[in-house]
Amino acid sequence: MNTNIEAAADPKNEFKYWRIAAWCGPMFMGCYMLFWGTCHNYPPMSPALTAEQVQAIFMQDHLWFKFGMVICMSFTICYAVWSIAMSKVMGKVVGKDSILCDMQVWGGGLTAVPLLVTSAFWLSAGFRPEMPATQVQLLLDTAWMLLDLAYSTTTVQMFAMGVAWLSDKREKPLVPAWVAWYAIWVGFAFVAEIFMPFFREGFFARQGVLNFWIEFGIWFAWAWIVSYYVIKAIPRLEQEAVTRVVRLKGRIAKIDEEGNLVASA
Amino acid sequence: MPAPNHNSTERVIPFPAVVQEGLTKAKKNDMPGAPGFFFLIMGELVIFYSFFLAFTLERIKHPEVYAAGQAALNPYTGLGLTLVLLASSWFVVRAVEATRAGKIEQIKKNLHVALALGIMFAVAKAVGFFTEIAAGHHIMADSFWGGYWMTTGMHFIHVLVGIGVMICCLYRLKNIKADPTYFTFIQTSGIYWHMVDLLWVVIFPMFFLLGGTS
Amino acid sequence: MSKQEGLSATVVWVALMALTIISFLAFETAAGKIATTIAILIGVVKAKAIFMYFMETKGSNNRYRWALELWALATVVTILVGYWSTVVI
Repeated sequence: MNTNIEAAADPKNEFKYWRIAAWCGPMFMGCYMLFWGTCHNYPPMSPALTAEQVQAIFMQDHLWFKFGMVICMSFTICYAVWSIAMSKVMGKVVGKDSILCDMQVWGGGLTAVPLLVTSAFWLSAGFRPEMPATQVQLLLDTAWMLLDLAYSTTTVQMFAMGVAWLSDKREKPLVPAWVAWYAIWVGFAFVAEIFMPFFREGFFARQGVLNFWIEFGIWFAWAWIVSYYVIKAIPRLEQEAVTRVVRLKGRIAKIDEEGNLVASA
Repeated sequence: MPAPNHNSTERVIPFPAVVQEGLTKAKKNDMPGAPGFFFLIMGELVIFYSFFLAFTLERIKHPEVYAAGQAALNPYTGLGLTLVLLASSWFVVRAVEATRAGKIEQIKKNLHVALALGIMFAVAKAVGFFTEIAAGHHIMADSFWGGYWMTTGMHFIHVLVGIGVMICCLYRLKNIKADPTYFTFIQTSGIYWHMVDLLWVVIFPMFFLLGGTS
Repeated sequence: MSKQEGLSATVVWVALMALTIISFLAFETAAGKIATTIAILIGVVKAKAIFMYFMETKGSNNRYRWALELWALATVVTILVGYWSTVVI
């Protein structure tokens, strides 16, 4: 018996990695929920504050703030890994070679970039107390412009995901239709961020009810919900994985779901 | 399959069984349109409600700014836009009903008119935006104009998407006889367009008619 | 489609157009408070007519339908309460 071929043909190994990758999503969300707020992001600092006020806020609890940002930057990659898991499961719906899977992965990966870069900007802003206050404010503003206006990368991810889940022809889809529409909705709703640079205070500013609490809130909730369904889908996919055992002239052979002979003994 | 109506001036093309199957499946959903689509509709309505709330709260803080802003808007323009969008919505309803009845030419005509009216709305609104900018009423002018641009700007984006969706309905019409999902597609598209209309019927009085003539 | 259903959509549309013109005329002729209240109420009635008849949710009895009703109620209350709170009585 060729154990390497057996192991390669055994789908359970692969699904184990899918599970780990899918759980990276909740890990990312949990980490950001706890540590991202240490950068005075609940809610974000108002653009109406003076540079001196901004710098004073950065200097408050700066050790805890630096620790929080370091954790956030370390765990940001979990979002990209989670996106890959999403694509693997999506591949079971639309086919692994579907462009939707690629768009989702790219969208998720590119979403991780502003998350990383903005945390770096905030870390830099709080790094030197002697830095001119206007430079601190510039770093803060630049980070928020990047984070909010890079929405299109996440929009692409969510559209691709939504469209893919809607294509599921199973009697009981892997992900319910409403979650797919939720993804498309949130991806579309992000367009409201284009108005953010025009407001320094009020509802539509970066710390406002719409452009922070609603936009970020609905995206955050969506990530938890879709993670739940995808993690639940993986055991189903394991069961669905077709391994046919055929007898070929007295030998036992294994054929994978794509009809390729993968092992024989 | 509905029998051809020999008394009608239009030739009714009977649906093949595959398309009729799509109609039957659509009837089993508890809400019209694609399953789960109303989640998106409700989400959009909630977001626009937040705009209405923001408008209301800001107006309480700066009533004179809002009165001045509203006085600068032309209510006749708002009236015209509302009537055009309502008409467009009605033609979409007719297109969906024509789909149920299997009248392909009717679907096409109604969609064309709905699309033309939608484009008319979009062009008129775009002209309005340029006029307002020329008059100095841009997004950062004051609280009223910020809210106006945000609300009507987002609505405008929804109109553009709706126009795109109607174009898709027309495009897919070519293959309707082999497409069991066409009815659900046009019904769902119609629901989206009606949402755009529904939002405007609230936006119109809120921005254009609030305050009346004192 | 029965002729009955077709007539219903047309009747609703004519009513919507008429209500739009009525709300506009109220704005042009009536005092501010009355005109505004009429216009907003008509606006929300129109919104309800659209989601019940055009969106065909009239026969449905599920959470989305009730969410739409709640939305209409919240919208009218928010706008009117906000308006009336700025009016000096």
